[in-house]
Amino acid sequence: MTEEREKGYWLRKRGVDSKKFSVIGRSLPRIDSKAKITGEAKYAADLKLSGMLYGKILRSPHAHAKILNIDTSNAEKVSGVKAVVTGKETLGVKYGIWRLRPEFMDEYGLAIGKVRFIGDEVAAVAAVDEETAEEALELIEVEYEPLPGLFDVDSAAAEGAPLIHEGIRDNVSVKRRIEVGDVDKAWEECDYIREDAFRTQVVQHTPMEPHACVASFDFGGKLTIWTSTQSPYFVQCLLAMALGMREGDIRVIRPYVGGGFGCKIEMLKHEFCSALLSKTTGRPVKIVYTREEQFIATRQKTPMIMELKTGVKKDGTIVAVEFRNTLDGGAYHSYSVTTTIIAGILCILPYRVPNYRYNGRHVYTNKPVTGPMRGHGALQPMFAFESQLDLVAEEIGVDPVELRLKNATQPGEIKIPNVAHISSCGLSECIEKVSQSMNWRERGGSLPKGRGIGIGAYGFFSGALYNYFDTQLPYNEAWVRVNSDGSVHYFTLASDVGQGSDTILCQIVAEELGVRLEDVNIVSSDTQIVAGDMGAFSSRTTLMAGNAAKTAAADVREQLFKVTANRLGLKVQDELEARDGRIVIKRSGEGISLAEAAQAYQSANNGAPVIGRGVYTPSTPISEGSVVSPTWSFGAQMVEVDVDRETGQVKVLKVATAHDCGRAINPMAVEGQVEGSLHIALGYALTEEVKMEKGKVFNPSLVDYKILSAVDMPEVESFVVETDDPHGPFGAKEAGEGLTIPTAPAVANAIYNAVGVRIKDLPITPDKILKALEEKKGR
Amino acid sequence: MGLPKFKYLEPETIEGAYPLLAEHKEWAKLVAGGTDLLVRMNQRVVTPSHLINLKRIPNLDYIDHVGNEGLRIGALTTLRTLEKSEVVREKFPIISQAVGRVASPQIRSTATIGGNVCLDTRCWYYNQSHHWRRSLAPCYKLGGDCCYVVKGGDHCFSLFSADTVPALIGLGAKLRLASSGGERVIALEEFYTGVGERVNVLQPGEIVVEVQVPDLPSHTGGVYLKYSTRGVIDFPILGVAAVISIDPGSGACKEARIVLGALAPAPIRAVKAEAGLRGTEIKDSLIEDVAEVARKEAGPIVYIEAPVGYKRRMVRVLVKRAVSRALELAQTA
Repeated sequence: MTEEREKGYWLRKRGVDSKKFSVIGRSLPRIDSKAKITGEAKYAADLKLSGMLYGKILRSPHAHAKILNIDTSNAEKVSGVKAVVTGKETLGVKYGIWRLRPEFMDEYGLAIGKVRFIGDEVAAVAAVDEETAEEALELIEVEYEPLPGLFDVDSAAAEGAPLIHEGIRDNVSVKRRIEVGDVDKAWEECDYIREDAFRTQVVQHTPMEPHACVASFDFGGKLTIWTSTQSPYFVQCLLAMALGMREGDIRVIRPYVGGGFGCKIEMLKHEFCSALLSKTTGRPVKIVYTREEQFIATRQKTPMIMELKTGVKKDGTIVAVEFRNTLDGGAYHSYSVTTTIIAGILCILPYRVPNYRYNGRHVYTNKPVTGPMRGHGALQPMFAFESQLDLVAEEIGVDPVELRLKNATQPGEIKIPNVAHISSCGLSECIEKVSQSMNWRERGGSLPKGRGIGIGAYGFFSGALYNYFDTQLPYNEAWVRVNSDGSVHYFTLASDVGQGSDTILCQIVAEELGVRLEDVNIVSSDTQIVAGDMGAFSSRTTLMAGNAAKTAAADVREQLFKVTANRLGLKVQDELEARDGRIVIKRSGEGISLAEAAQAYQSANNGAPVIGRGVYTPSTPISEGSVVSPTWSFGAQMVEVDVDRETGQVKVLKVATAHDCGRAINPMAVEGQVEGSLHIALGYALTEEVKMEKGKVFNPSLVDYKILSAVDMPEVESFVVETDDPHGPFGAKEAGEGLTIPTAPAVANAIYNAVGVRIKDLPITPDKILKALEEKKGR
Repeated sequence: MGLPKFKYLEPETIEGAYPLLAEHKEWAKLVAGGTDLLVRMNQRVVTPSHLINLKRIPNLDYIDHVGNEGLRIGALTTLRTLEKSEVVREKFPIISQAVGRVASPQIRSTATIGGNVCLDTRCWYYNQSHHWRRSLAPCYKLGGDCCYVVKGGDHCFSLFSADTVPALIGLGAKLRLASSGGERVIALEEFYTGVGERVNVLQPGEIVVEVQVPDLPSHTGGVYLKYSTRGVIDFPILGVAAVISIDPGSGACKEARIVLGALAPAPIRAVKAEAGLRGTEIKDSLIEDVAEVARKEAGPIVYIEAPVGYKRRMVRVLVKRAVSRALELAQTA
């Protein structure tokens, strides 16, 4: 970004005191940009170790079947094959991400007894090259007894349906309920009530880099694994569980990661299989997933079948909402209990809903596993609720923007007692911003034929607080060392998976120490250095790792202040400040360089380096009663579309987004998130769908699965609204996942505004629009 | 997954390729850009024992337009070169337009016109990895006896999706084929069999060496409309080419060609719709009628990329738009 552009960018932002900070709030280029642009950055699939073998996984061709026998003898005979493993070679322990509740841990490293979806892992081979491993896979003979497959929630949850997991009655693994106020009574106070049903589809995260890892056991029996993951810590712990090892004897190293979006949070089968194969062979084993495997055998976004009932007063004040939700979960649990509960919470986050009832249930089906994906648990219910709010607005004759402003969440509100309390919220301002940007009040009623504008609002976590992983560690730990040459080393396990957290966190450290961004060197990729961090998900990194980094940097600064005070003969420490690479007396500017301060510290401490430490450990309840997240981001988006009435094709012309991220540590990075979010969210709204027939995915490629291309992207305008949140580092909240939420309903509302048809199931494809137009004409 | 093992051959002349083809027969595959073939090899849809690379052969990469002899395009001309060619842009804009809609600039820089006319048909079942196909019995195109697109179908219903071909057929293009026995020239339209299992009539030992396009009469307009989900890197859900020549005096239509792509194993000429246009002054109401005729001519439509009923409607809409646009261009030419 040029200086002028940076300046112009700022003119569009509000309330930023740029004088107050030197590094925070500046649109600095990402610290990893050169490595990525030049190809210097190495990803897991680029790694090669001496003696390395290549692994391949045999997957179930059946959606649901008993395994009667596996014969690997022919595969083992293939020249170049070094090991073949099946469920028999595993410990047979179940693992899962919800360590707190064993009933939600339902996966084996390799199938034992039965398979539950097409793609379930049955055996794995390590060989001298991929071709040999492939050849061996073909020779593994598995005898199956097919069982009836359950492909939709109705047949899976029907009485007497075969059980996908033993002991899970009706295949319903989770039921969750939220009750606020008195919903039954509240209906009587409503002037207008409506009920609608909505559905969302299966989509896949499609990170640019498919899953890949290299696992290597040493002769001491300790494991090192290089893996493309969002959470080295989870991989470490779950591998320990599945392999029967101590967590501390497993070292997880995260190379550069080419995106995750939720499908790289948990330990997945390639990680388990490469580790097991390495243990068996004593050699490093690499497994790289094909795009097809990444589609069927990692995670998919959970489809939801939603019934919503909303009651309002004549003036549009929301009185009550009832939400019944069924999640089509696929074959294993993954994060489903989380998905089920947060769908209920996030549905009403942007609005005051005094009376609310939520009933969610998660049903197992014989399909690929669903799990978290960017905007976890929120895109589905917000598509439904924001669509329904527009329907309500039209019926009662209230402008959709005014309806939202009337009900918008305000700071200090309690959304759900003891669950979600709001410490900062700029939603009303966000709605105003996008409405002004689109010139809604003037243009809204007089758009050309086929054109329409729609709105969507949202709120999202800034990190999850609930300790479902049952960890003993802080949610993030940071060490900051100031070296005697003035350089700064910052150690964390916060995972940069492409979202840019390394840059943001280094900006925070640099600001605290008064140094330049390039003075800070980060190590953020190795569980053997700093252990505490859960991973990059639930939009937690800026807030949680940021707070720990800030504390650690402040800690080291205070230690350097002490030695500087001695050196300068000061008696009162608080007259010092760190700026421009120096520690100086505030009033006079007299002082010493950071390097000299570090040298002085080391001289006085037998050479020991000066290190600051910081942790972020949430206490429960934190944030005045919020046990789900320390704080919440908010925002609004407006979308303008042009609908071709003859073909049903939708062209998205312009999108305006205003996001309350508390404070933009790096405005250019926020802008990047706005645009990236729009890409994933427009695909969700219009084109992306994992198509399945009896549990078999038939578009597992980027040719047939339609993520949008660069030429399909609209004009984008983004606004940052800053609310200086009390819980965030320098007031910052999340700016990555929430942004994906408003697009689908905003597009649906814009299409309705354009041609008067309401599509209630995603994706909104041209054929659905055309069909609805014809039905409307027929009426 | 990497490519299956194969032996690589690189003849330096077209004559040098013939004995290689004769020796390895159907086990060998010709490759030029490889943008279609290598993907199918990765998926183990085809596993040739030998690849014969034509790209080293000189003098097959040319775009010639001399006098009134029409346009001649060497088979090894890349789609990108064709797209950028000034003479093509000026004299045959429909070609530049259709070529520009193939895949992406990167792929067009590698893919050749010869390869594009020889494109294999595709469908949701056939174009999958061998792992994916493992649990299913082979379909007609893979030598089996079933079709997964049309359950109970008695032949292969895969689709021919090359963007350049409807436009070239609309222009009356021909192919020059060479073999050790000599050369022959065949109308591009007749190059395709309409049978998914065996897409074109190229004989063993034959190589496509040239695409020939006759010069157009004056007052001719042509357009190719591609309907796809994405703006780039996408196969057509439907492609429609319309080429119309009018008599500048009477305004009547002298010649009309309407070609539908991506609906069947071969491009479809909507001959009845064309006949409806010839000899008359084309009015909007006639275009509507003709579009409906074309829709009926499209034959059975299958659920690949988009639902059947929807695709059928799109035939009508796109034919209408293509004819209107081509007429407009003819009138202003």
